[in-house]
Amino acid sequence: MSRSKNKRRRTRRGPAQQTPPQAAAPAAEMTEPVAGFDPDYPFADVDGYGRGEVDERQLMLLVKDWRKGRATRSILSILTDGYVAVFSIVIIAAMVVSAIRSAQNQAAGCTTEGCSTARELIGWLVLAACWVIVLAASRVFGPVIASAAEGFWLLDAPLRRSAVLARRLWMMVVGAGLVAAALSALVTALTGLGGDSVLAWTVATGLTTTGWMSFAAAQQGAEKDRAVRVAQLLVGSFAVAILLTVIATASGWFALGITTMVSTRIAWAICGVGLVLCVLASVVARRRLSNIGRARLVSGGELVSGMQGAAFALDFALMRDILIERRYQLKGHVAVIRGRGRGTRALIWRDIHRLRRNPIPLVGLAIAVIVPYALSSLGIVSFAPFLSSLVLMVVIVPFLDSMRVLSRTKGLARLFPMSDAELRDAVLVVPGVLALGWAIAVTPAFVLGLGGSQPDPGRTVWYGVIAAVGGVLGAMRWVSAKSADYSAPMVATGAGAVPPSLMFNMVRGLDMVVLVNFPLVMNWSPIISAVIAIVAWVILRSGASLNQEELLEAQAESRRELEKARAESRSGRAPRTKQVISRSTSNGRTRPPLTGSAGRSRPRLRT
Amino acid sequence: MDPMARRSTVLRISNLAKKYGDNTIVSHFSLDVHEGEAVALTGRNGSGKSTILRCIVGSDKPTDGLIEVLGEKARDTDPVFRRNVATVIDDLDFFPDLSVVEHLDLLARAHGLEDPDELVDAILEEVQLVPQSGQLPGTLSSGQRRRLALATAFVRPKKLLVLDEPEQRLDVEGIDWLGKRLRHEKDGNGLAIIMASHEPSLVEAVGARVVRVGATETTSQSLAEPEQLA
Repeated sequence: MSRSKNKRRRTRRGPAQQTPPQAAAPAAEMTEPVAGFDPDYPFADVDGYGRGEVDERQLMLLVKDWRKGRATRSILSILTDGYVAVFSIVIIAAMVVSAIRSAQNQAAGCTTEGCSTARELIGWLVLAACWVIVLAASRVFGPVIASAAEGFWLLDAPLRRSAVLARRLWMMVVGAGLVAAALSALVTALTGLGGDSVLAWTVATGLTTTGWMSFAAAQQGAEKDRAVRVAQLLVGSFAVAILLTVIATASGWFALGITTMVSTRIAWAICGVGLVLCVLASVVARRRLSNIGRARLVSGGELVSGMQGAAFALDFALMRDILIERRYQLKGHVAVIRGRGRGTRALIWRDIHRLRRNPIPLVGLAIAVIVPYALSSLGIVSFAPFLSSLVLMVVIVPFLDSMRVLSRTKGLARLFPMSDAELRDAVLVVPGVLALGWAIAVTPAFVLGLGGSQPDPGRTVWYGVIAAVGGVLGAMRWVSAKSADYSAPMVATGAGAVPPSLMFNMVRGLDMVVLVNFPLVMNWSPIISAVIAIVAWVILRSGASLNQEELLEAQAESRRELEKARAESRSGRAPRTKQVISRSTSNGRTRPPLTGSAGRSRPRLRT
Repeated sequence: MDPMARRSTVLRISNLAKKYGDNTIVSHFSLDVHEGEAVALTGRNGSGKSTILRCIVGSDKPTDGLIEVLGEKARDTDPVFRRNVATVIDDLDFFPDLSVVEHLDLLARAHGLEDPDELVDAILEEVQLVPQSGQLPGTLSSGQRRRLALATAFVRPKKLLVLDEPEQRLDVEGIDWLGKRLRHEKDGNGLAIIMASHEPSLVEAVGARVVRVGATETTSQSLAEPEQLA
């Protein structure tokens, strides 16, 4: 509801206007009748309507007062205590400023056409990236959300939803714009662009991102998703095209010849379009706020709280699980595909069916092929396998969804008649074949020496394969590592007591990539990388985590078993004979035993 | 001679103990479950029923004692154990992108069934999930998820079935069906069943030997078949 309408309502009610926030609740006892029918009120036809009329602004002030009234510390005391944080921020800001000044000085060295064009395109790249992120996040979360508590206590009450949600909408819209603008300012300044360009790209990115966020909110108000989905597809394609162009121009494959003046003018033009989009979409979004369903608001809020929980545990795989779960919940139904094969082959065929059902991750894999070529062209030779491996790790994760589900709880793995190692081998087949294809496709990048270097083909021919193995092992570790164990002994840190595995969570996946690629970075023999990769694979496929407590526990268990066996042999007990079970059919016929030779006499379940 | 004693022992629990810190949940618990026998663990909340089942299936480690399945020490990572033991306890997870029928098809094929379509359809019919066969697990109600979990146990070969409060979230018809199904598996297919339950009608329908957990001494009685008293 508009501010003027609010004012009219307050004037009409009279005494409620002077009521302090804390006294808003007694408004329910007001007996002044309300003239006319207000369609904003869904309970207008209920007897006694008007006596319990709600002033949403007062209600929100009341909620704010509850929240602030329970604060035990002032912002000043927090800042005083947080001097370390303040000090760190100052240091980081100084470093950023210094880096920008250094970049500006070095920009003079960027004289080639390819270099300067790529630099001009960086602003475009940030712009497109911000659009993709804001549209994707809006589709997943809302963008307007409400917590479960708000959904239960506030949104079910007879009040104008728009008044409750308006502030939240503006916060989301303005916040997205500010963050995008800050990011754009930082990146464009670091690339050494001039002040005019930096300003133009900053404003363009901020305004257009705000516009897209408002657009998504307007669509949410219309309870529609298709327009945002189409926009996301278009913007995503645009972002990929920009990325490829940046790589191609930086690598000197072709030149666009964009000057700073042209680029800045385009940026200001985008500002104009962004402003129009921002204003129009914001007005529509505000008008439609009352129409957003409670279920949609609350589901976004629940998703955010789930993601927050996973983020506090630094469990990024769990965050991805939550998003995946949500995506398939929204999808709800699939066209059934009949399985094929038996045993572990059934799992492999199911992964192939998955790929057929959802081929989008292949796009990421195809883009990852370009990375080694771009790195080699830029002359980044020694780090090319490592960085390529890192990119491959990210794009191969979606193909390891089966392994993730089988690893995160024991329940599902227990249903299959295979060991953990056999299960992991089976679900690694499809990603492994894809990674092998990637390795074959990128090998020329390492062998041909695109950046003018003189590679040793005898060595570099293995770089693609090792980078692929490093990426797959990193992804395997990322999806299969255990979450932080809060029951384990904690380690004292400046941020309080934390479980050791929490710190390892931050580098899981990355550790494998570093381990496997380290010998290549050091210019050692690729055989060392191969040996490291084999050892890592043996550990990861067995399902053993690299968790210290679990390794110690397994060691203690082995020791107990050994002691027991020794005690038995000392007491002279004959080792127990292995019992072989014969399988019987329901009609009484006996099948051959499951193990062992049929000729030997052994106990059976059925005789 | 007790006819049960003539049958092979499928599950043997000897002196099982489980502690969480200083808190003893289960101690000196011993039990044999034979082929074609059902055992129902009953007792108050927190008496240790689910803990015993979790120790059997390997999702919890016993502090002491020995659990053997078909004469071999129970190890949940052992393929033979996994082939012989079907479990329906609370830690079951599902693939978010596979539909109900695809889960059952995958599981049946993984257990070596060549052409499982007929069996899968029959089980779907039994658990009344035919209309939901193309749905993804995230969209199922808690009762439907429970039925799917039970279906995973019936769509595959097994020697021992471990169920933790299988009646949970099932309606009256569902409990009735489950009782008949378990009875058929036990008597017709010689399946050994161990379950924790708070539902006397289910225990009675299955004809299970009742083992009270958490009493001063573990006691054994039968609701349906007094001749099976241990």
